[in-house]
Amino acid sequence: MFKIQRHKLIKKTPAEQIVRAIVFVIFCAVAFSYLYLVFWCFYSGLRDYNAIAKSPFGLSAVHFEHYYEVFTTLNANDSSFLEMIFNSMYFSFLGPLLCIFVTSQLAYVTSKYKFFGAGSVYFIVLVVITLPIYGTQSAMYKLLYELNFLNSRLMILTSLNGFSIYYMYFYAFFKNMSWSYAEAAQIDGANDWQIYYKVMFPQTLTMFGALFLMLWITDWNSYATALIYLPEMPTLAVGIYQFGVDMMYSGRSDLLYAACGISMLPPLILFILCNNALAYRKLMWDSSLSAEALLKEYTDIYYADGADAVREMMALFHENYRRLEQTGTEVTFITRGTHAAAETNPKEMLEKCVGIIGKAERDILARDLPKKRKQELFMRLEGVKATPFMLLADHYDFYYPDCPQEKEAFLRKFSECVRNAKLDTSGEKWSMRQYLEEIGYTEESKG
Amino acid sequence: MEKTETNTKVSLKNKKIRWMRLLFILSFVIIPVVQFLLFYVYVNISSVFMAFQRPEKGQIIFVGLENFEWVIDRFIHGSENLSDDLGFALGNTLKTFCVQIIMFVVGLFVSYFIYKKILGYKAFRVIFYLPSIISGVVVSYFYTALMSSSSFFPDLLERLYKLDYDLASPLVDSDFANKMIMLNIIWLSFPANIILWGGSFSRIPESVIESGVLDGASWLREMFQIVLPMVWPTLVLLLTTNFAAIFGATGNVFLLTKGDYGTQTLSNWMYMRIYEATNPYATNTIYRVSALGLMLTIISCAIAIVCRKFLNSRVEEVQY
Repeated sequence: MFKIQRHKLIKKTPAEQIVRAIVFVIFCAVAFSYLYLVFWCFYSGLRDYNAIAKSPFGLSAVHFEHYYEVFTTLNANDSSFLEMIFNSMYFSFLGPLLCIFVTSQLAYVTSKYKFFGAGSVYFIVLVVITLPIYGTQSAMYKLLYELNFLNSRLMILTSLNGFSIYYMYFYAFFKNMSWSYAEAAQIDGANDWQIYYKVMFPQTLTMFGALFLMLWITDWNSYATALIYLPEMPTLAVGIYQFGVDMMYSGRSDLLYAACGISMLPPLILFILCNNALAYRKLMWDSSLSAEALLKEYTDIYYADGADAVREMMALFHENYRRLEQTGTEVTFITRGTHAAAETNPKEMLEKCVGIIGKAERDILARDLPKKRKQELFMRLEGVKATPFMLLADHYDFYYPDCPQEKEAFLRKFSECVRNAKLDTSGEKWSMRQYLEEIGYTEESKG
Repeated sequence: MEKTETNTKVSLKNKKIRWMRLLFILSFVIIPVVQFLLFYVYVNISSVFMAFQRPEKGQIIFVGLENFEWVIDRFIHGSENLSDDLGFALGNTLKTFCVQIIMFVVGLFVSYFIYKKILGYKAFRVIFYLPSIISGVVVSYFYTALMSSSSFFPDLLERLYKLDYDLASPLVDSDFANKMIMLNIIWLSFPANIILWGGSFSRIPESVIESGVLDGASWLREMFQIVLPMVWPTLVLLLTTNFAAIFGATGNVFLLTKGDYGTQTLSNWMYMRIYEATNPYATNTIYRVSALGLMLTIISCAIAIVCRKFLNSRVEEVQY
C-alpha cells in the first residue's frame, strides 16, 4: 500500500546540502538573467528612448504605440519592417522546408533502392558532417557572385542540401521501416512515386515537423549568412542589426527594442506550443536519451492515476513480443498485420490487460475527483483497453471456441468500450461501425 | 507463337518498369547531388585554388604561396592594426577556446545537478533553453545596454578595478573588451549541452547510483567515479567535436565589438573579410581567407584525430 522510494531513505550529508543550496542560488541567478533578458526587450520597446538613454534598466511610462510605429517607421537598407518579415518568412520557412524535403527523398532512395553510388552517400555525409573545414565562405561568396545569387531570392537554392546531418535521421528511419507497406501498395498498382508520397512520406511527418521547427528557429534568428550574402534583402535579424548600427545616429532605441521584441515572439510562441516536438528532435539528435523516461513522463501526465496500469499493460505486450523475437519471429511496427494475429497474442495476456485497465478505471471512478476529470481519464483508459479488447474481438472464435453463444455479449462490451473511448476509426480506413460489422456486430444485433 | 508474343510483352513491360525506376531514382537524387557538387565539392575545391590566387586588374592570377606568406607574416610579425594581427587573433581564439572548454565542464556539472533533481530542476531545464531560441542580435543589444555608461556595470568595474578614470563602456576599452566578450560566453554557455547530457545521464541505471550511495560515495565521487565513466563515449564525442572546431572558437565578437579593442579572433577575422568584400575580382583579402582556412583545416584535422585517440586510450568504455 505504502510505496517508499529507496532514494528517500538515503540522507544527504550537510556538505551536500550546502553544495545544493549554493548551486540552487547560482541557477536562480542565471535563470533570472535569461528571463529578465526577454522581459527587458519587450519592456524597453514600450519606453521612451530618452528614458532608455538615461537609464536602460530603469522604469518609466509605457507607450504601446511603439509596437505599431515599428511597422511604419523602422527601415533598413530601404526595406520596411514588413518587407524584412517577408524576407525572413521566405528564407526561414522555404529554406528548411526544401532542405528537409530533398534530404528525406535522398535518404529514402539510398536506403530502399539498390543503385550505383547508393551506399557511398552515407559515407559522404559522414565525412561532410565530421570534417572541420575553415575559410570556405570566400569561395562560396565568389560562386554566389558569379551566379548572381547575392541579394537575390535565388539564394534559396543553396538550401536544397541533402548531404547534412538530417540525412542520418531519415536514413535510419527509412532503413528500419518495413518494406511490406510498399509491397502492399505495389500490389494495389501504385508506382514508385505514389509509394513514396502516399505511403512512406506521411509516416515521416512527425520527424519532418520536428526537424523543420528546429531549422526554422535557427534560420529565423540567423544573421551571419544573410548579412554577407543578402545585405540588400535584409531578413528581420539582419534588418534589426542594421537598424541598430543606424540607431547610433537616430537614437530611436525604443523602436529597436520593440523590433527585437517582435522578432523574439514567433520562436517563443513555437517553443511554448511545440515543446514536445523540440524534445523529440533532441531525442533524435541523441539516441542515448531515455525513451523510457520520456514514456513515463508522458503516461504520468496523460493517464494520471491510471498511468501505472497503462505501463503494466505495455510491459506485458513488450514481454510477449520480446519472447516472439527470441523464437525468430520478426516483430515490426505495423498497424494491422501479423502481430495482430491470434497466434502471436495469448488469450491470457489480453484478458489480463483488459482486467488491469478495468481495475484502474474502477479506481478512478471511485476516487474523489471532479466529474469532468473522471470522465476524461475514464475515456483515455477506455481507449487503451480497446486494443486488447479488439484483439480478442477480432479472433473471438479462435480464443473462445466453446462459447459461441456469448460472442454477441462480448462484442457488445467491446462496442461500448470503443464508444466510451470515442474511437471512430479502426486502422487507417475503416469507420468503427464498418469494423464492428466486419467482425459480426451490427446495430441491429445490438437491438 | 503466342508464348513468344507473351514473353516479348513481359520483357517490354519489365524494361518499362526498369526505366521508370531509374527515372524515379534520378528524380530523387538529382537535385541534392547537383546542389552538393556545386555548393560543397566545387566550393571546397575552389577554396583550395583561391588560396594560391589573387585578383589583378579584374583577372584572377596564380601567385604561388604569396597568400600563405602574407598570413604567416601576420602571425609572426603582426600588424600595425591590432584587428589584422593574426598572432593576436590566434591568442584570443585559444583563450576563447579555453573558456569554452571550461564552460563545457561547467555545463556537465549543471546537467548533473539537474539530473540529481535540484530544487526547481524542471523550471531550470526549460529556462536554460532560452538562449538557444533567442536571436544573437537581440542578446547582443541587451548585453551592450548592460555595458553602456548609463548602466550600473561600468561603475561596478571602476570600483572593482579601482580605476582612476571614467569607464564609458567596457566594450570599447581595450583593457576590458576581451574580458567582457569572455563574460558573455560564460553567461550564454552556462547551460551548454544540457539536454544532451540529461539524456546520457538518464540512461545510467538507477541501481548503480544507489549502490554507490549506499556504499558511502559522496556526490563528488559519484560524479567522477560512477557517472563520468558511464557517459564517457558522449564526452569523447563532444570533446573531439570541440577540439576539431578549435579555430572556430569565437564569442559574439562581431556583434559586440566587430573585432576592435583587442577582441579579434581568427574566425571573426575571416568573417569580417567576407563581410567587407565587394567584388571577388577586386578584393584581395578573401583569397588570404582561403589560405588561412586551408592551413587551419589541415591543423584541426590532425588535432581532432590525436584528441580522439588520446581520449579513447584514457578510459575504457563502459557497456550498460
